[in-house]
Amino acid sequence: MAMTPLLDIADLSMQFPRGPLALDRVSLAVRPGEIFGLVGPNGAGKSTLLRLAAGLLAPTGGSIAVAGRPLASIPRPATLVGLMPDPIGVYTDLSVREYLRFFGRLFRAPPERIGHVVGFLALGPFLDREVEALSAGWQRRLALARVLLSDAPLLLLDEPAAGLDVSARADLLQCIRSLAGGGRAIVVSSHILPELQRIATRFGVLVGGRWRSPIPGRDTFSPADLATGAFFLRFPDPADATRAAPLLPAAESVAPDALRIRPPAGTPPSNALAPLFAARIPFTEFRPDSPSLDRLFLDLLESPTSPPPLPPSPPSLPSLNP
Amino acid sequence: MIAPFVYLDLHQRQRQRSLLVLRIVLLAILAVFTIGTLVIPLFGSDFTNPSSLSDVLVHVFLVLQGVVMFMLAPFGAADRLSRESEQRTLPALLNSPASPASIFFGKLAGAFVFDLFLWSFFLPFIAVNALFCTATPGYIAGMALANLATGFYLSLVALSVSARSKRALHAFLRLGVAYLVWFVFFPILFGILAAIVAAATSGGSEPEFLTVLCFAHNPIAIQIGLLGLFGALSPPWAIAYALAIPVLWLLLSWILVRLALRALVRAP
Repeated sequence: MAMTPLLDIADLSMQFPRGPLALDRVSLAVRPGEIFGLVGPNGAGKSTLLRLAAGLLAPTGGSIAVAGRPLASIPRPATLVGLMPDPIGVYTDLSVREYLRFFGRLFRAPPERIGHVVGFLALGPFLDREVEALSAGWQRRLALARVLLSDAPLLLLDEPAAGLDVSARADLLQCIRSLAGGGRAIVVSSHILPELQRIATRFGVLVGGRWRSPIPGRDTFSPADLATGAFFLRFPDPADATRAAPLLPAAESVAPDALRIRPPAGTPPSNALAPLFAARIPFTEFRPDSPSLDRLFLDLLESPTSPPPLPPSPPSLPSLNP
Repeated sequence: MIAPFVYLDLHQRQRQRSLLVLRIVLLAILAVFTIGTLVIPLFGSDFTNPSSLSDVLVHVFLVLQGVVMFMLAPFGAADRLSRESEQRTLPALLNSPASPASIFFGKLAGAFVFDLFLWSFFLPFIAVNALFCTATPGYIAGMALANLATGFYLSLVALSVSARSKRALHAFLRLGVAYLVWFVFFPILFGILAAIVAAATSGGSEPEFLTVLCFAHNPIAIQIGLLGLFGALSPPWAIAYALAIPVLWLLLSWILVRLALRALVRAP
């Protein structure tokens, strides 16, 4: 039986007074443990969608349910939905400790909860620093700490990695991944698509307040939907690639040391590797050759009316244990 | 839900340098007045006994306290909510168990603590002089409490203006314009009206209802009453004046709170 979605949005519309139609009949369901990647150009309605889902805005049409209850009937939505808005808006004239104490009191979080959040986000060494003196990455962590104080099962993160360097982004995404591992449902809006592709279990592309998807009839898609049926193989030496090419099905060279192969449909893709083992040809990388989310997003933007060409139906993903 | 906002307000104000300057300025003013009044007898003035000196000083300090509450208390509250918009911290507050009403009244409580701080600065000076002066304790206590009430009332007005402003500067400017209309334009208007009515009536003096109308809306209406207006009015109009003050305060406060809460709900 499918789990009840923590966030269930149906035909949501939002028309700002004297403004454009920000969202047009958008539907979405996010279940516990899922990380939903919300993608779209600036002004597509991502932040509006998140603010509606957090109960900060009232929709002009459609419905929002959180944990099976209509959002409008929940007296304090913050106990169920944690929103990290963009800009994050932290009090720069407080210390980290004071900031956490203030929101801890507001959320009636016991001191152990604050301590747990501080430990989880490694904020301990910064407790007595002024928020203003923190780097952008640590300020974002602090904003995330504020969201986690509520212990809400649904987290809405609007551009959590904006302005962060590579290392801070990796740390933050690791935090997000472990939060989802704890059973939370997380919606992450981001423009940094490679990272989003690494952590999200499903994606949705909003353009002009509507979903745009490469899969006809479906608003959202998963990484498996992006699989093309082709696989990428990298070898330690270009000579190995040359030796391996005739042995593999439909192999084509994509780099001096790499091949793209297309195993026959219906057979486990790992079977295609048997000739390599037999010929004792070493390889260093074997993975589904999916299009990047960047590429897909640009394709979706460039084809305003029809979705881009679809990949063939994906094979079941193999176990990569040789 | 209000206590966390008082905590926030105290810790934010603690870091404001302007507050330190304010403390120094207030102490300097109090010191100048105290020393000045004590020095006057040295130059042959009539103030040669503690009672005369204290009579002057207690009034000076009560008026100073009133001016500070009138001028500084609302401007201390004027940026409290607009700064939340400016710093983009309002969505984080609204995504908390605090309702817009809790946020508003929490901020108001924070502003009241600031008002108490300003107000209490004058208390030791007033108390010392109250021991020697001829004014009754009731009058002194009434004036001091009226000053506190004025500060709190004007803080509420300022906070409401703040809730409807996206930037602190806009809030200060709007409050300045409101002050100009309320305390300059209105009295001039009422003065002209009173003069017209007085000229039209054979007695040559304005009717008492106009006096009530002129002063009852003013945040220092209680002080005006205590300073002599209650005694100058006939008993029915004195009662009307005394009743009109809380009614007008409550009515304006209710309207302003409603407007502020509506602005907070619409803020995101």
